[in-house]
Order: sequence, then structure tokens, then C-alpha cells
Amino acid sequence: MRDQVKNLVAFMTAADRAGALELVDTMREQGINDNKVITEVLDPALIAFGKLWGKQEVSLSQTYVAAKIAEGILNRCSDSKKLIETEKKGRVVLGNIEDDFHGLGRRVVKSFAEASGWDVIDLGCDVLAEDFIESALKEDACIIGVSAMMQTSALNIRKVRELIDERSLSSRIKLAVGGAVFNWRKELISEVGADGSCSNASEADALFTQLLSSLEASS
Amino acid sequence: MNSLERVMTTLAKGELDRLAVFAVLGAYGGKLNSTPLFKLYRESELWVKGQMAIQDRFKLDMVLGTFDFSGLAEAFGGRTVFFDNQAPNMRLPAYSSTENALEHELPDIETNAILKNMLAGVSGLKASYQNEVPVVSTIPGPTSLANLVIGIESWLDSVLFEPEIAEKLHKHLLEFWFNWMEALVQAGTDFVVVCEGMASNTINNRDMYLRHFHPWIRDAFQGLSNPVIFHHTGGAINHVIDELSTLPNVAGFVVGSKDDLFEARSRIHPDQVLIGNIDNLSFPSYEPQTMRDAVRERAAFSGKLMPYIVANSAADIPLETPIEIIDSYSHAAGKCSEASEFAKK
Repeated sequence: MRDQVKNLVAFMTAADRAGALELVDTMREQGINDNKVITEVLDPALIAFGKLWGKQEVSLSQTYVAAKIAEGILNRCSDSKKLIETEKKGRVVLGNIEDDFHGLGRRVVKSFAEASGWDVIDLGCDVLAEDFIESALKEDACIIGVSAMMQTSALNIRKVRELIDERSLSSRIKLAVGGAVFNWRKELISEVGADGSCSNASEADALFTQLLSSLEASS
Repeated sequence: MNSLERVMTTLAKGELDRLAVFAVLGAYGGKLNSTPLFKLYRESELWVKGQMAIQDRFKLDMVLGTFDFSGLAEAFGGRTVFFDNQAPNMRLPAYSSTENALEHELPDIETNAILKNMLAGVSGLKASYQNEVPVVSTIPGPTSLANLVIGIESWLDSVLFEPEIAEKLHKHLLEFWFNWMEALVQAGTDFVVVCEGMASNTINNRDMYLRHFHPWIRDAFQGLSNPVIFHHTGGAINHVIDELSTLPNVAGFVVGSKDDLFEARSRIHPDQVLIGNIDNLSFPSYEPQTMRDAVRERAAFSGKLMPYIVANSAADIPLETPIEIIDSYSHAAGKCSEASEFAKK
């Protein structure tokens, strides 16, 4: 599968959705089952793509297309999708914090996380801290993922941290943050009281996995 | 030498009394005058008073026409959200799709209340500062205007997956773009700054930018009747600045805080002015001495960067920035007053 992974990453970086989906169609015609397409091609390709982001070799528009490619592959591989439904890694409540209306990055995170097997509840933009908490409790989510693009709105995330602590939920729920401002000002991650952050959507799976592990280890 | 003369002399690569200094301070005018921000951005006389307060205090070499892209979005039918502690944002774009936007007429510059207010702000500043301080106005780039009309996700989707219909919308919006540029100039703008986010490295790498956006931007710039300054918007633009440098009617660049100024200088035309690159997000956390050092560091090398203007990068300097820090910034730039201090470096 190494060549297919390499080819899929090449289609992602070239922002060639049609080419990527053709590649997957060909693999399926050759008898490669949907589960293998997801776990042995798509997942490693997303990880490799994330490494390119880490090296600043890909941009938002390419990441956007990569997310669309991941969505397209999941839709094509419907059998595997059903399988994945029963084997979710965990549930994440995702949203942009109060006063933040820059939702593109969040939606890309949702696509990448779902492609990696997370059950994502997307609350949208301008979400109050209280609503993050209520939704996480109602949905039995283990992670609250909060996005912010601007520093001013990012500081509103502190309220989410305060509510988690006030309600003694830190052993049940981890707080993940992301967005442009956290990439520019890393110190903000601790300032808002986050348990972790990642610099791009393709690293969300690793971050959520690590946060879930730390929850399990402490329980 | 007054500010307008200083900026014009910079552009002409003439002998200066000191480095020119710019800063993007829009909402800060509201802070200085205790004006609620929703009023500041929607009542031109309050905007002008805000700029006058900024000018009185910091003595910058520019005043800023109403800098409110969410207002442009609202002029198209979008919705704005106002804050107490930052510039307004677009809450919702006017239209949900490219097709939807193509079915509607462009806003009328002569009758739309928000656009008229912005132009009145420019006229008010021009009347106040005449030929002493240049009036700078901002406009979204020709391939970024659609972000304000249909949202960035719909726009990227169209450009990347349905380029024919995206081009139709781009051409449709260009009529407004040219008219708005002309209106800003007629109202008294001395320098127009084009904020083209699609050229930022955070949005597009070099290949994506050149493939999908540059040809449209080149066509648009060919139709300009006035020179403009190209602004990186956020992130960095050195990855494409050599190509941007060849665009018609570009007098210079505002580069990002992570763009290397020397690299930028080496990749653009010697006559094009370089502006920046002090990180605006760091302003609130700077100490006065750090701020002075940041300015002096650039001033020390400005002989090799000329024509060069000290400025912050990206958008508004955060409102929570203590006034003393902006004092330090403007004083440090103003104190680079002897030509020998920088021109011979």
C-alpha cells in the first residue's frame, strides 16, 4: 500500500480531489476492501500530510482540499463507514468560542477527526462556554475542542476551563484548543488553560488520542 | 518635513529627516475617546475624531480611513458582530453560494448608508489633514472580496472545484471593486492598501496561489488607475513576493512579521517601498524597552531596506495594548531623526 499512500498524499498536496477519488475507485476495483482503503491508505496519508503541514509545506487551501478528499473517500467506502460507526475512538464536542466566527479551520478539523474515527458533535461558531460544557455532558464527550482565530476571542476560552474546574469535570473532560492565534502565540495555550493543542487539523487525531489516554490513565 | 512630505520622499527615495512610521490603529481611536466601537465604525465623525486622537497622541505619518471589512460585507447584505474589545467581524456573509451571489445586484456606492459613512470618514480626514498627513484607505484584494460576500469556505470551494462559476463571480464583483477604489480616491485617499489574503502563505502556497489566484489579480491590477500598496493581510508573502512585484501599479508592500525584510527587499523592485514588519499580536505583551528595540533594530538596517516605512504587520494593533507601548513605538521611530542614524548603515 506504500505507493497508494504516496500517491494519495501527492493528490492532497496538489489539491486534486478528482485524482484522489479516482485513485480510490481504482483500488476498490482491484479488490482492495474499504476497510483497508481507510486504515492502510487514508489514515497514513493524513498523517503524512500533517507532517508536511508541520514543515510548513502545505497551506490552508490544500488542507481544505485534503479534508474534502477524506470526506469523499469515507462516503465512497460506505461499508467501512458502517464498521467505523461501531468502533469510534471517542466523542468530541467541537466549536468556535464565543465571539469567534472563523469556522473554516474547525470544519476541516471535523473532517479530519471523523476520517480518523472520532465521533464529532459540531456546535458551530460563537459558542458560549456554558454550551460547550452542557453539550459535552449531554453527549458524554471526553474532549471539548475549541477553536479561535483572534487573540481577543481566544481569551474567552478561559471560561470553559473555569467551568470544567468549578464543576470538577477535569477527570472526565479534556480541553483541546486550536486556531491561527495559538500557532502564532504558543503561550496562549496555557494562558487559556488548555490541556493540549495542535497546529493543524491533521494532528487533531493524535492530540485527541493523547488526551483520551491521559483521561484513561488518571481514572 | 511634514508626514505627507516624509512619505512621498520615502517613495521617491529622497533624503529624509527621519523614518516614516505607520501603525494600524482603528479601534484604538474609540479607546482613546471612550467611544463605543459600534458607533466608531458606523458614525464617520466619530471615526475622524478617533483618528485625530491617535494622531494627536502618537504623531504617526498616516491617518486611517474607516477600516471595516465587515462593513463591506454588510453593504452586500451580510451581518456584522460588534465587540467591546476588538474591531467588528462578519457574523454571516450575504449569500450562501456563488450561484446565489450572482443572482443579486452589487451595492450602490452612492446610496448605501454604510459605504457612504466610510467615504465620509475619508473626506473628513482629508479635510482635517489636507496636505500634511496622508490618508490611507484599505480595500480587500480582488480575489478576497468574495470571502466577504459568500464566506471563505464557499469561495475556496468554488475556485478549487468550480473555477468557471468562480470566475463569473470574480468578474461580477470586480465592477464593485474598481468603483469602490475610485470612490475612496475621490473622497480624499492618498494611498490605497489592497489586502489580498489569498496571497498569504497561510491560505495558499506558491503553487496554489499562482495557479488559482494570480492571473485574476494581475488582470484586476492592470485596470487600476492609481498605484496601490499590497498588504499581506496575515501570515507572510515572501513566498510569492517576486511575482507580486511584477504586478502593474504596485508601489510597495506591507509584509508579515515572519517575512524576512532583507529577503523581501531583494525580491522586489528597488523603487517599491517596503512597509512592516513588527508583529501586531505582540504589542500587548511588549515592554516599552522591547518595543523600542524592535523599532530601532529595523531602523538600524533601514539604509539597506530603503525605501522603507516602519509599521506593524497584519491588522489592528490589539485594543488591550497599553498606551505607553504605542508611545514607545512611535517615539522610537520618531527619534530615528538624524539621517546619519539610519541612512548610512
